[in-house]
Amino acid sequence: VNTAILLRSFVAGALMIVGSQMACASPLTANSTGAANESVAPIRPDVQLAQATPGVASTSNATPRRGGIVKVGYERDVENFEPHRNYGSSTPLFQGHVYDTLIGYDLKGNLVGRLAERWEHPDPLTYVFHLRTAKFHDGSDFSAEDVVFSLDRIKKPGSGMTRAGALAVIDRMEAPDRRTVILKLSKPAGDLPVTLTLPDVAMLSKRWSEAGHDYSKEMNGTGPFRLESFERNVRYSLRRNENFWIKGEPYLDGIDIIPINDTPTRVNALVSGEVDLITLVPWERFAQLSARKDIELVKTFDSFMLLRLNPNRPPFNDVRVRKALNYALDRKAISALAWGGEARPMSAALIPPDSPWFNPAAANTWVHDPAKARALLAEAGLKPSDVKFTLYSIPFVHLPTSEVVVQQLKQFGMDVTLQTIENAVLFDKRGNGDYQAMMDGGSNPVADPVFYAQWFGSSGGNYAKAVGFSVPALDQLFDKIQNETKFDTRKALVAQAEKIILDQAPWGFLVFRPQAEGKSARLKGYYRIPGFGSDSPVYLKLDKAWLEQ
Amino acid sequence: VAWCAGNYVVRRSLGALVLSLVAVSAVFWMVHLIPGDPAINILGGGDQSPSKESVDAVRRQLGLDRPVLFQYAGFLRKLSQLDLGASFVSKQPVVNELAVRIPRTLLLVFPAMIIAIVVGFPLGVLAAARRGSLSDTLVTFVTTLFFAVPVFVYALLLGTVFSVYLGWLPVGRYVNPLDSLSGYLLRSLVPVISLSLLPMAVIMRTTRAAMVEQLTAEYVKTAWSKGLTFTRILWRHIARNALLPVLTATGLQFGQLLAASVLVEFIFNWPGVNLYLLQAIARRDYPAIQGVVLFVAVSFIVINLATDLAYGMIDPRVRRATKGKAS
Repeated sequence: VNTAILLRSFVAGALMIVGSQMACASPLTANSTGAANESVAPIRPDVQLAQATPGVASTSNATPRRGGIVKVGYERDVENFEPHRNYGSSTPLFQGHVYDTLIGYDLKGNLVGRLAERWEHPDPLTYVFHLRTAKFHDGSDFSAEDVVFSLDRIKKPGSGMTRAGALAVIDRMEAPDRRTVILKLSKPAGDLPVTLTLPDVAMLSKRWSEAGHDYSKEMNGTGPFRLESFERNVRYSLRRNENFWIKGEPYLDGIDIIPINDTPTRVNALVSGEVDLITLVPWERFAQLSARKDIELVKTFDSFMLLRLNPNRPPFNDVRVRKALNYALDRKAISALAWGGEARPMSAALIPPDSPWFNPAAANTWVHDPAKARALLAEAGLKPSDVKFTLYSIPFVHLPTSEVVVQQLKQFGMDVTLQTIENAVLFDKRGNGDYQAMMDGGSNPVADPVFYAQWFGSSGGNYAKAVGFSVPALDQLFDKIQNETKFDTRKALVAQAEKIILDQAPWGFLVFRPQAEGKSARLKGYYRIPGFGSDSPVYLKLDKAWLEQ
Repeated sequence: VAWCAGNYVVRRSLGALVLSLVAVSAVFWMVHLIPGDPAINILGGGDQSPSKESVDAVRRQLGLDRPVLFQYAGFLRKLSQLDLGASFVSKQPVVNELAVRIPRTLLLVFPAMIIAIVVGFPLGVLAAARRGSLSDTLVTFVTTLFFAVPVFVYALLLGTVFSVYLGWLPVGRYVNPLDSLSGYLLRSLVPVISLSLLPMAVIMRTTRAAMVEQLTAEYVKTAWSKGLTFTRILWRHIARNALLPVLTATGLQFGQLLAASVLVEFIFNWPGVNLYLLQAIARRDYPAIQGVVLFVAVSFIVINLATDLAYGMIDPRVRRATKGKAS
């Protein structure tokens, strides 16, 4: 009896996930989205960013009002205090408000100094940072030794910190005085300033740590808010840092992060006014919520659905088969059937059409063309039915997309088996490249095309390394893009790289999916910048927010 | 007699101990054999494939680099000292985590059970007493509904109706009753009622069936002939005799509720023991999974034991039979 009932409880759990998640088909939670880049875009301060799209923010001419606590209905538990590991969107939301970084972004997406007032790049192997005066929440002063301590904590071998790889280029650190830090690199790294904007490259207090405090259990930053109290799974209360280095900010008295896993309950909490902001509004509720005066949706299309293919396992070890798959897919139908028509078809690679980096010449690479797909297979000496493979998918948020894709490929004649696997298993298989085809979601933490290297550079930790995808010409282009500063030259290089990627068709490129937060109309000054993904420095930011009376 | 009863309890408890050990061992092997690496989950949930060195370092820290048999031996050794180890994720002792979470689950399950009994039992008696009447049909119809519809449907339905459309109740969510008793009562109302409907239906049905059976028994005729009023016969004699099967159903339902509350805990973000289990499974937090399973197994066994013992208290016939077997 006991075993039966234990089994029952497991089954009930599984059913619950499938039931409630599938029923509402919420966009994937950020921690399983699967796309944070270890090393990032090489924007130097002198790079022309050409950010055409300003931040999606609730702009208002009214003067910010001081006071009030914003309640955030967040899609899951915050779960971890560790500032140097990336936990998806909880990193910018939670750690990102308590800690600060050396460099950040303005609302247009340009790099600006934060704890570093300014910085210099006198030669390719040297960066000099001039620090501003700031205080930690415990009242002590922020200084150069804290920068050295923090960066060292990340890059120490075996630290397991998310950006350990990206910071490994730092050979030596010097702190000639309390306000200056000099980084000596082992090789040129144009992307270092961008890495230093990431919320998981937070600045910690050396002295506080040496006094025996544990950053994986306690918090002490220089950010706009300090941790006041918390109860796991229930509430995390942040309160205003009265000594914040931007005078007068933040406007809010505090932020209460309230984990609400269940999507309908989260939407209900917003509608009934229990919370002021919720993450991951499902597309099914867009119309209903947009119709209300007291609620606003903040919608972006920075996450995408991708079908990972393994180029070193049959049947996808033949590029013609990979391309045929892309031509056999009808992306408009995928959007209509799996995303209520709210998703945008990916007609080329990962740069969306509204980005300044978008290459119009590559637009419409992927069109629904079964005849071309059949011709490509014939060229490879195959019939559609010879293409036999298993497609892995997690059993909830990705499933509608997986089902439509499998249906389309079957209709085309391919022999596809859909196999659902748990998140934890998907992580394993993804990390080991143990798949023929795998449905996944992705996004990029910053709006710069250098993220391509993390996917398709031969050592790219997000895809290429695990499956052994390697194109030397592509690696060379990525190196050039990283160290080039002129916008037009970079754009041309990006177009060349994209051409190779599209020729190689390492994935089934599917759709850019909608991701939306819902917020009370009273909440002003909340911002996120298009092009930056859900674990970026500018996602779920309330440091400039205020509540209208 | 006391010695016999004591012996019975001891034997049952020993059996219970063995059963718990079997359950928790089965789970130990299950979680260790299924795919999914706790180290990868700890290193950021696999958003970016962590380096092999990092994964190995974390595996060493967690003791996962040793052969599974050694890990099992270590697990048993610790268990014998009632040490369930520390959670991989929070690093806190699992015993402490359970001590925080178990009361929260009980704050859902106990009130739900009380509502189920207080409403279900009288309704069952009523339906049996007025067999075939409109009220019987109505009660039967409603309970069929409670049987058929899964808990997450009316949890969401009730939540939407009362919190969003009518605006009478705040959205269901856990509030520590020590912080705010009224907050707890208001916010637990929808979750507790959602949870109580299925056991309420079961108790009502069982009561009705047992009562109907008793209504035709010889002693009822005797009672009638003695000139007792129907109300007195119904509540003093029949209901009491019908209590046994109802008690069995109640015991079983209580165990079921512990499991069923997983859905309600998820929907209302109620940070009880089941939500903990769910998160632990997703992250492959082995010590936490084992801790919760042990708790659930022990609870079931304790409830069964308590039900058996309660039989004896209610029905002297059972007491005698048990004594006969025990000695």
